[in-house]
Amino acid sequence: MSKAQPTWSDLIPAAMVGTDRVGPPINGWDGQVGQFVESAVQGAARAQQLLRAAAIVAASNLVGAKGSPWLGALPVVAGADERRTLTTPEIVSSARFALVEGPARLQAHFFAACRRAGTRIPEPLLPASLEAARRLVALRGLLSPVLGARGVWLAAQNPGWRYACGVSENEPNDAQWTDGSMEQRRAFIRAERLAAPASARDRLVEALPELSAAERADLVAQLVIKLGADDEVLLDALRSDRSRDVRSEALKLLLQLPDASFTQRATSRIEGLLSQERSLVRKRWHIEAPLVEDPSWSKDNIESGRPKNEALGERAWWLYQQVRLVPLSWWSMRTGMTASDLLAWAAKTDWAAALVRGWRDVLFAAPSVDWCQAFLVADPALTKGIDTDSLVALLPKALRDEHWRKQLAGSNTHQFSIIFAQALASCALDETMGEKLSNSMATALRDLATSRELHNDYSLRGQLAEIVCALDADSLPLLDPLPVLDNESSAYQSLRQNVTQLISARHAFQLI
Amino acid sequence: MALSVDEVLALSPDASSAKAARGLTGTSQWPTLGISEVAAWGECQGSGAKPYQTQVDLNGPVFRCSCPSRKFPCKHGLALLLLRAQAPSAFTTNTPPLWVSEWLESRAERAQKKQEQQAEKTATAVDPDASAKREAQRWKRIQSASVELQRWLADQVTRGLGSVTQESLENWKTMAARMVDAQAPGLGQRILAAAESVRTSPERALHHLGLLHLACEALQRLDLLDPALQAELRTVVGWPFDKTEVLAVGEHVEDHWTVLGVIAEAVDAKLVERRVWLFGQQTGRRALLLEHAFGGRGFEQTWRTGTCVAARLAFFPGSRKLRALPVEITLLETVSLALPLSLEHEWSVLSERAAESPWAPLHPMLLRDSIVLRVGDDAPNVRVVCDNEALPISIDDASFWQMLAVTGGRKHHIAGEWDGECFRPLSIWADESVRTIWQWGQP
Repeated sequence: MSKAQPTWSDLIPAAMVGTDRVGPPINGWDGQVGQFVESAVQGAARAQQLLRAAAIVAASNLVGAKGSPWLGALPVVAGADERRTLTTPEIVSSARFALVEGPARLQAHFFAACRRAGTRIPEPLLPASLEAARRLVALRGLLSPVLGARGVWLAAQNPGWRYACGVSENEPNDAQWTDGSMEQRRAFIRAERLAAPASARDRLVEALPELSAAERADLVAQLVIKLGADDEVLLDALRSDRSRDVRSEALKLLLQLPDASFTQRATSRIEGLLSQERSLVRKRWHIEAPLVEDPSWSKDNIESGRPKNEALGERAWWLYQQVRLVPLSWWSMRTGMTASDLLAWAAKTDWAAALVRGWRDVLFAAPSVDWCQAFLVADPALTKGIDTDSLVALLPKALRDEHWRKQLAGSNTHQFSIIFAQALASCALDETMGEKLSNSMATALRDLATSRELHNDYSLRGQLAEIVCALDADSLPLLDPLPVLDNESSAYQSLRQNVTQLISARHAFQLI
Repeated sequence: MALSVDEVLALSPDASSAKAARGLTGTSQWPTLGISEVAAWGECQGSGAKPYQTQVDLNGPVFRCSCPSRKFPCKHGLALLLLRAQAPSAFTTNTPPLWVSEWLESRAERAQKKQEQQAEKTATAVDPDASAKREAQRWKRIQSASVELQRWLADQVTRGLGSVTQESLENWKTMAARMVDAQAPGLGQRILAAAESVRTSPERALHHLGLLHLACEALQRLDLLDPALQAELRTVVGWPFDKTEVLAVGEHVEDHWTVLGVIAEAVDAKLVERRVWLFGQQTGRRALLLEHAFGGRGFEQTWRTGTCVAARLAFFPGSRKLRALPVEITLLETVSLALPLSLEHEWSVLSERAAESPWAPLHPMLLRDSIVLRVGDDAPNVRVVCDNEALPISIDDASFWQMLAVTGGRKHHIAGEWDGECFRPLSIWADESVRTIWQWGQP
C-alpha cells in the first residue's frame, strides 16, 4: 500500500546505516511532496537522493506545520475571586524578593500581612508562594488563607502543591470542612471550636473514621481550644486509637482536665508512691518507684516492658510513665512545694531522672510559666538534654523577651551568636520580638558592625537576615543602613545591601 | 515614560545584579540624587572614600557609572532607576552637575558625528566596479566551499550517521571551521547544529543536513536565482548586510508596531543575542529586530514587551522579509493589538514565509483565544491549545507555572516564536484590555 508523503522514518534507516548499504526509498508515494521527491532525485547518486529528499521533507514540514488535533476536554477554569489583590508595584516587588531570595520569616510576614489586610496573593506570585510552603511546612497555615481561588486551583495542577488543594475562601464555610485542604480544615475546626465547642467536637467524631493518622492527630490537637469536661469521653476513647500520635495528643489534653477519671486514676497512683517522712523537726517528702508491675496499667497507657535502648531502669521507667500522666499543678498542691523546690527535691531522690523527664513531658504538653522558669534556673546537670530555647518558647512573649534581654546583657560579644540563635528559635515564624529586646539586639548588632566583629564573624553574618525579620519594626532604623567599613569584604558589602532590602521589604509589607 | 520596578529589573544583565541593585535602594546610601527631563543621576556611597557617580540618559535608557564593574548596566545604574520608580521624591535637584552635563553633551556630539560619518559614507562615491569585483570574488570562494561541503555531506550519509562517534565529530567541527575560513560562517554554524543532534536526534540532524544540502545546491545555481533569494542565501551563509546597505536597499515600512516579545539569550559565554518581535498594526507585517551584545555590554535601545511604537522599519533584503532595522521610533501612549483571524491564518502566513525561505530558524506567531495546559502527571507535557489544535511548548518549569497562574485555565492571546517543532511563549495578553499579563523572562 502506498503512502501519501515521505517522513523522517522513511529516510532514517538509510541515513543511519549509510547509503552505500541501503538506498533511500524514492518512490511509491501518492502525495504531491512524495511525487516531488521522486522527480527531484531522478538520476542522482544515492547520497544525493537522500540529502535531496531530506531537504524536501525538512522544508515541507516547516511549510505544512500544524499542531496536533486536541480531542481532550479542556481543564476546569479557576473560579473568580472577589477579594482584592495587591497591585502596588513596590509591595509586589518586595514580595517577589521575599519569596525568591528572602528567609522564611520574611515570607511569613508577607502572608500574615496579606491575611490581616484581607487581600489575596497576586497571581504571578502564586507559584513562588506555593513552592516556599512546599519546602517549609510551617508556612502552610499562613499561606492557605491568602491563596485565593486561583491559588487553590493552581495547587491542584501540581503534585508537589497538593497540600494546598482545597476550596476557595469564597466557598460556603461548610465546604472548607468537607472539601478543604488540611490547613483549611484545621482553620475551620479551630473557628468552630471557639464559637461552638460541642458542635466542633461532634463534627470531628463523625469525621474520625475517614481521617489518616496524621490528620486525626492534627485535628484532635485543636480540641485544646475551649477544652472542657464534655471532651473527656472522646479523649478517653482516643487513648486507645491505633495511632501512637493520636494517643499522645489525647493524653496531652487529658493532662489539662484534672477532674477527668483518667487523670484522677493517674494522680492516685502517684499518691500511693509518695509519702512524708519525719526527719528530726522537719517532715520530708519521699517517693518510691513501683516495685512490681500492675496488669491494670496497660488500660491507662502505661507500658510494663521497658524499651530496648531505654536509659532508665525498669522501676524508673514505670515511675516516669506515671509521672507524665499527672498535671504539674497537682504536685505543688499536694506537696506545698514550688516548682523550683520540687526540682531541687527531685535531685536529692533516687528517682531524679524519671521525675524530671516526666515533668518535662507534662510541661511541653501543658505549659506552665512557673515550671518553665524553674527548669531554666535549675541545676544544668538535672535538666541535661532539654533545650533552653524550647523551654523559653513556652513562656509568654514578655517573659521570653525579658529572659533573652538578661542573657544578652550578661554575656560578652562572643556569646551573642548563640543567644541570637536561641532567641530566634523561641520566636514563632510570623512573630516579632518585643520592642525592648529588639532594641537591645539591634543596638548590639550595630555595635558589632561598627567594631568589625560582624564583618569577621561568619556565623553571625549568616543569622542576620533571620534576625532582621524577627525584630520589632521600630528598631529597624538602627540597622538601616549598616555602617560602611574601610576595606570591607564583598561578602560584608552584599550583607549590608541585603539588610537594606530586607528592611525595605518589611516596611513595604506594613503598607499592605 | 518612567520605567516600573519590574521593567528596570528586566534590564539587569543577571539575577545577582538585580539583587545587588535592590540592596542599594536605601536613600541614605545616595547623598545626591537628581533628575532632569533627559537624565537621572546620583552619587552612591560605596566602600571607597569617594562615592560612585552614576548617571542614566533616560532616552535610552543608557547607563554610565564611575564604578569598576564590568557588568552593564551595573547595580548602581539599576538602583538609580529603581529609586526613580520607588521614591521619585528623593530626587531633590534638577540641575545636572558638570559630570552629568559633560557626559550628555559628549553623547550628543558622538551621535552627531556618527550621523555625519554615515552621511559621508553614503555620499562617498564607492567604486562600483571594485565593489562588484570584491563581491564576486567572495561569492566564488563561498561557491567553491559549498561544492566541498556538498561532497562532505554526501560522504557522511554514504558512511551512515549511525557510525558517527564522539571522536569523529571532530571532523564535523573541522568542516565547520573550513566554512568560516571560506567566509561562510553561517554554513559552519549549521554544521555544528547538525553535529549537536546527530547522536541524540537523527531526525533533527537530517533536517539540518537536508537544508545545508539545499543551500549548497542553491549556491551553485546562484546566478539563476532572483535577487531576493540571492540575498536570502547571503544571510544563510552568514554574510551580513551592513546598516547603510539595509537602509539604502531594504524595504521601508511605516506602521504602529506592537512589541509582541523580547527575548535575550546567551549564545556563548560572551555573546548575548536579543530578538525583538514586532507586529505592524495596519500592515499586518511581522518584524524581527535581531541584535547581539558582546562581553556583558548592554543594548543601546530598550524595547518593552506590550508597548507600541510608531516607527519606520527598514527590512533586510531577502525572501523571508522578517529581519528589520528600526528607523525613527516614537513610543505611543496607547497600545493596540490586531488579532489574527484564526490559527489557520497564522499557519498560512508562516507557511508562505517558510516556502520562501526554509532556512529561517524562527517564526513569530500570535495565537488568539488560547489555553495553556498541562497533560499528564507522571511525565507531564505542556501545551497551548488554540482552535482545537495543541502545540507543544518549549519553556522552563518556573515560567510555565507562572503562565498557568496568570491564565487560570482561561483563554488568552499568546505571542511567541515557532522553531519548527515547538512554540516558545513570549507574552500573554489579557483579552479585556490590551496589556500583557505575562512576559518572557519577567522576574
